[in-house]
Amino acid sequence: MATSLAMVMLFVFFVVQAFFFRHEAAMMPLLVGLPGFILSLAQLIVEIRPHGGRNKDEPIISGPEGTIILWIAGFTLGVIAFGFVLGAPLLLAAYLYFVAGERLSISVLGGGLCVAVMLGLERLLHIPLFEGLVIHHLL
Amino acid sequence: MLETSVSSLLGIFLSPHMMMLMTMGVSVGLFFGIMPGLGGKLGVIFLIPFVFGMDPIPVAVFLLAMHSVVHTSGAIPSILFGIPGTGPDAATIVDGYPMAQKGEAGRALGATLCASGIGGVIGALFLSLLMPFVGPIVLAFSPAEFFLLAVLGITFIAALSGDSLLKGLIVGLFGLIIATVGLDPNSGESRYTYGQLFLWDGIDPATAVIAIFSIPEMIALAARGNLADDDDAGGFRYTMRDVWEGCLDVFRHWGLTLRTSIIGAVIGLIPGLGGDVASWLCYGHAVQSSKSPERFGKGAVEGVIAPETANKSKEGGALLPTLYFGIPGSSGMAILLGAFVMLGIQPGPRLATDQVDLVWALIWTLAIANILAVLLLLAIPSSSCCRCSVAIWAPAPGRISFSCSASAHWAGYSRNMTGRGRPS
Repeated sequence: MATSLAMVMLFVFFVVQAFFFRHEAAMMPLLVGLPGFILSLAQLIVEIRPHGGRNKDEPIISGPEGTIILWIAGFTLGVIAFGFVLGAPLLLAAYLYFVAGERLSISVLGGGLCVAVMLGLERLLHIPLFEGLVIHHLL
Repeated sequence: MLETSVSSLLGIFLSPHMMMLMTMGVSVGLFFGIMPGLGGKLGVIFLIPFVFGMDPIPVAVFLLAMHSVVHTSGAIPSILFGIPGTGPDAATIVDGYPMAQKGEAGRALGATLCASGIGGVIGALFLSLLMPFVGPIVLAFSPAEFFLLAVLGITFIAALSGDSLLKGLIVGLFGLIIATVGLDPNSGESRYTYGQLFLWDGIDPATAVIAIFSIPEMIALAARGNLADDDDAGGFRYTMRDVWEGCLDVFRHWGLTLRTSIIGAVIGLIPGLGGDVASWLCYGHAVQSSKSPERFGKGAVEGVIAPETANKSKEGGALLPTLYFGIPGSSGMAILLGAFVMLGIQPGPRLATDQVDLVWALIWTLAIANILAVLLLLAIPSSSCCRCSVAIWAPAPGRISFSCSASAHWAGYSRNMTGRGRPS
């Protein structure tokens, strides 16, 4: 049900925004967005009806799924703040230690390997990775 | 045509650069295949941002070599752990895992490797035999026929939606509306860009592909837990003699090998079916055509040979609509098609006249990569290879970090992920 609700909201967002475009630019988003809104609303109604959708005892997001989704959100914020070279290894090590229950040495090694991969991308392959807003501000 | 074919083959064999790229592609493909939950699609997705801007033909050879051998190693966790490396490898479990439990792991692995190699070569041969007929047919197509093909492509939503057509249509429309992000080609007005210049060209394909395929797969994998926890493979001991015995089984059942290879290649030609259908259909054919069908499911070697030849030979068939019509024969080919377009290779009828050498290079790549993969896997003890790669690459967050850095690198901007960043 959550997915259908999210789809309805997304289509509403796209359709409402399309009304602010000029006629030519708005045509395609409306042509696609309106049927999308109607169909996703129909899907939502099907799922809301009794026996039409998910079992009520079944959680929308399972525990491990919720953990990894939270971790991804934290990872995104960490990378925005501290960049790929510092943020990604720190969050990887934190996941290994706190969530996966690995030993501290293994978690540190995992983080170290991630630093090596990121530095390898930057220094050897000359791939510019985002440095992070905090690091950018400090430098 | 024969001259072009031979010159393409020599161009690959006599170029150390091409051979090195192909060996690298095969090694990377085997690695991605052996890792449950990764697979060739994710492999291509991970590598697209890093190979962008390089010479198209060698990179196309590299990516196809990688993609074409994924199922070869994907069968190893199916047999040793009972966990399919990729979707089409699931059919191999039915008889492969019982064989391993009966103490015939080596024989099952040998049959798998040899069947994969032969299937891959027959798939390439199938494609090369169709080449003289396909060229004139493709060139006879006008824009009207291509429009109908595009409509046909959209109708595959119905076939791919599974139980819920409504959900399939919603997702299809969502994809179309996401494609409207950027500058409107008619009026030049920017849509859904919110002052961000990098969105003027629309959402970057590599970022979209990573977001759609990689991240949900990693969430699902993290939710399932570590697949390497199963310690069964340690109990399966086998010798090279067992592996050779399995290889000989493929030749003992040569009729089945040949039939399932051809069925697989024909299924590959039909867009939207893919490797799962090829594997299960050929497994069903093996059961139906057997004189003793009661052995299947309990460790019959034919039950390993049939799906393995099919899911390898289908790559040859799937390459044909992908290259000549721009309609991917499978989901893996869809991603490969995207990669080709990004490299500047424009699939379509002009390939039949202007870039025949490229087409032949890809056909030879299919054949050579499959042979290389078999030789590499015969040289490396499969169970230890499987264990090492699972241990190193298991945590989903590590893969997510790599996916995001790949996405961030795409087009030289970190803004794809964060919305801000420095240009390269």
